[in-house]
Amino acid sequence: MLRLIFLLLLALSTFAQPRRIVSTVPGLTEILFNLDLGDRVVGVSEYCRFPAAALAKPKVGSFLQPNIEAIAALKPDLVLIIKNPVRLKQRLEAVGLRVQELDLETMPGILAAIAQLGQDTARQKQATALRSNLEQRLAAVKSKVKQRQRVTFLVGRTPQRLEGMVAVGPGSYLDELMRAAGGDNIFADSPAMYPKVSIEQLLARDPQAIFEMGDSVHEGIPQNRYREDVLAVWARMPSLRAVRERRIFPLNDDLYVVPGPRFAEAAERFFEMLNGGPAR
Amino acid sequence: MKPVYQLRQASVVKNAQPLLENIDLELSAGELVVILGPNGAGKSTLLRVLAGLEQLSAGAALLSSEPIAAISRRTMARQVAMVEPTVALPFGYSVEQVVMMGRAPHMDAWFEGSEDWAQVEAAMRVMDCENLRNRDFRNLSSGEMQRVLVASALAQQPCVLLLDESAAFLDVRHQMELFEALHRLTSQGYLVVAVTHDWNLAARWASRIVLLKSGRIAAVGSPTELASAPLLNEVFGVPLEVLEIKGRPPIVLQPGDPAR
Amino acid sequence: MIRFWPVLLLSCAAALLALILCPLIGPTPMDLSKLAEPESLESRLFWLARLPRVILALLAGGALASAGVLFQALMRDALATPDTLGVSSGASLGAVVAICFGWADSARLGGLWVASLLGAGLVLLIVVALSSSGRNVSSFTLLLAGITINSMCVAVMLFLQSVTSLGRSLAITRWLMGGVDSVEYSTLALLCLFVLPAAVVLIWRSKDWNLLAVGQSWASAKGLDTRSSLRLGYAVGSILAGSVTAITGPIGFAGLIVPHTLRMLIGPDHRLLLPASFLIGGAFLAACDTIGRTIFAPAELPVGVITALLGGPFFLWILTSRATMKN
Repeated sequence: MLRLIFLLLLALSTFAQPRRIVSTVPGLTEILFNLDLGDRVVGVSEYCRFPAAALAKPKVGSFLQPNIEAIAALKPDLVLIIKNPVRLKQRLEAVGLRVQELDLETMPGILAAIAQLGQDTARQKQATALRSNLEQRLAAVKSKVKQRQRVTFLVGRTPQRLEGMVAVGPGSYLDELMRAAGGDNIFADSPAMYPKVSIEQLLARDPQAIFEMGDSVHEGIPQNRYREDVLAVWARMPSLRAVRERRIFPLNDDLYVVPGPRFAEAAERFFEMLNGGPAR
Repeated sequence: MKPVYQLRQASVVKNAQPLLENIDLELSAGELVVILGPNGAGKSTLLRVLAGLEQLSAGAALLSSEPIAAISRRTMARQVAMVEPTVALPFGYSVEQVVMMGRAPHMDAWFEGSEDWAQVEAAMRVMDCENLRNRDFRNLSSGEMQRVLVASALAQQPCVLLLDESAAFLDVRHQMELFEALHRLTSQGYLVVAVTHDWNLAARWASRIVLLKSGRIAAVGSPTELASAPLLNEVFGVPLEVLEIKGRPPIVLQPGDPAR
Repeated sequence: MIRFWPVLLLSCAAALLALILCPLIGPTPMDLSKLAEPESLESRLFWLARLPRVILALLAGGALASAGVLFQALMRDALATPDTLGVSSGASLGAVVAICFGWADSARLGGLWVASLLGAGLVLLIVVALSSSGRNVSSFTLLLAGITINSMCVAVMLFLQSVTSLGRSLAITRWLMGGVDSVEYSTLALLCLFVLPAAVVLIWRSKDWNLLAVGQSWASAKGLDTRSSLRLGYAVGSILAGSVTAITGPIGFAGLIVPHTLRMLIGPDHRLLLPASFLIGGAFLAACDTIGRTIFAPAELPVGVITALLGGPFFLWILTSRATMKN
């Protein structure tokens, strides 16, 4: 009898678990796949490209502009969104959907999101394992940092030119990530989270390393050609210390710009680059 | 003497609408020709043909024996000056600047030379607008504007002056002054062609009148020759009376209604 | 034209002053005594960051102001400028199309220029067709047409931005922020190649714009071949507005304040108004940009924000003063 009740409870709990999940955020999609929930994902955003299996899922718009109709048509029992200023939660709930709003802007936020998702989907064990793995790797990176370096991360630039640059400012995920890996953002005092900067600030603040994702229209170009192109552009500004010391790191992998469970890997790579390793 | 203008079977058709039909006309230096006719008779079109601003659909228009269409705008502007009824300026050009624009067809240099200034001074003196020279053109009265526009035309040093309804906005005194000035110009050898609605003004000053009706010439002749009630009735479509006073040009009146 | 040389000299002095003073002002304090040392931070900042930026502002401001003067003459309206007529939007749309379809990728930066120039020219053709269809098109109609073209261009840009990839959409956003930046000297050389000949032609034909500003039939009665002059004017205007927009992105109201103020001060003769507008317009934009890159340092305020904050109220002031004049 006791066994029967136990089985019934088990059946009920599995029944209560969400079986059709829509994720509107790349980072949350990654967490879902990490928790072995890939099969339950029935819709993802246009920007969800990792892991490769996510590419095959139906698309429901982007994280700020999800297509509510398309989401509803997928009949999900859980919709995942990130904190946003456009009242997405209320709008999705208005059409009768169950919505979980999570914060991915900071590393603690990502860890909390993993725990929350583990709870929501009865994957507590995997979630705890993932969390402690990430925390250990991050702590390992932090402990290895001996000398701090002044760095900048460029997210935008006019193609082929050192003009129209947009850098990472304070309070952003990348700022936090670089700091963990031993890099101090030279634009930490900026009033904007993603300030428009010019070569003047780079010359004046002369960073020791430049992480460069600026040529954003460079798409579908192999990594090695992208590297060569970007380095050729910077070679024209030898007054910069980072150029003279060959510490320009061209990156074109969304690993660095998608806040999610790969943050430990990103921090490791930042650390490698800042300590003599090649850009990958 | 050879005529300045020769029009032969000149016709203008626009949007399948004939504006001028088979105009034969010769105009000579020293004449003051007034074109008269009801609205839509083609007066302004005829003036624009003479100014080279309107293309003929058929026939020929010659200026000094040369087809007008073959004359460049610049050469044309050195011989023929056109005065429009009004000019709405968007910006505050001074009177002097407006008159100086008449020198455009003569100026090759970027700045105006002493000859340009001399001509502008002379033109302003003729039209009595020297005292207006620094005024903003837009702030002038209609009469003053008209004098400045004529001065600008004179600064072109043309041999032909074309005026479109120039007297329409002028009071009697300024009308008289304008036509006195035009009359003086004809005696200096200018050909002056003016469009007006006012028979009495025309009869007082014109050496010849061209009567237009529906794009055709109804009659050409001196004021006395054309001052016949039947002809004018037909052209203007209303009964008119002609009053002849000895030694004066004939006056046209609307018939009074004694019953009223 | 007694005042020609003094006014021109003053304008030159203003531009020169901007060229010398603006590079010395900025978010990083400068020790002037170190400026002459070739490897000092001061000289690097001056030569690599500030000077090219100020030169760009001078060229862009000059081009937009003189294009404004030209459009005001051709449309016979003091409110006609590259942006009120929608020409700047057309250039922007061209650039966005170029970014969207990858014509602006890597080595093919020229695609953005060509697309920008074509966009400006196309919009100008539309405006010209509208303004010459009727006998007298009021400035009201013209401005409404400009607003309409503006919103249509913006709509297409937003559409393109929403369907393109994330990277390109970011590139478009960054480009639309507009503004003057510390460009490389090669960019400046390319811009000079377009702007300077266009400005010279424009100033050379000043007397034509004087005649056309009064009216087309007036101009042809004074011996001008109006058709070829108008064509030249529209071509030169598109080159000025399009080439500047290709580099700086949209900068609103830059072609309004300086031409209007100067016309009130020195009169409407284009022989003086055009060169003075080019010089003062450049100095004005350089000054605005100096403010923009200094007040919120290290972040920068795009210069378009400042010109719009100044130009918007100015535009309204012209509108109201014109309304009271008519009453």
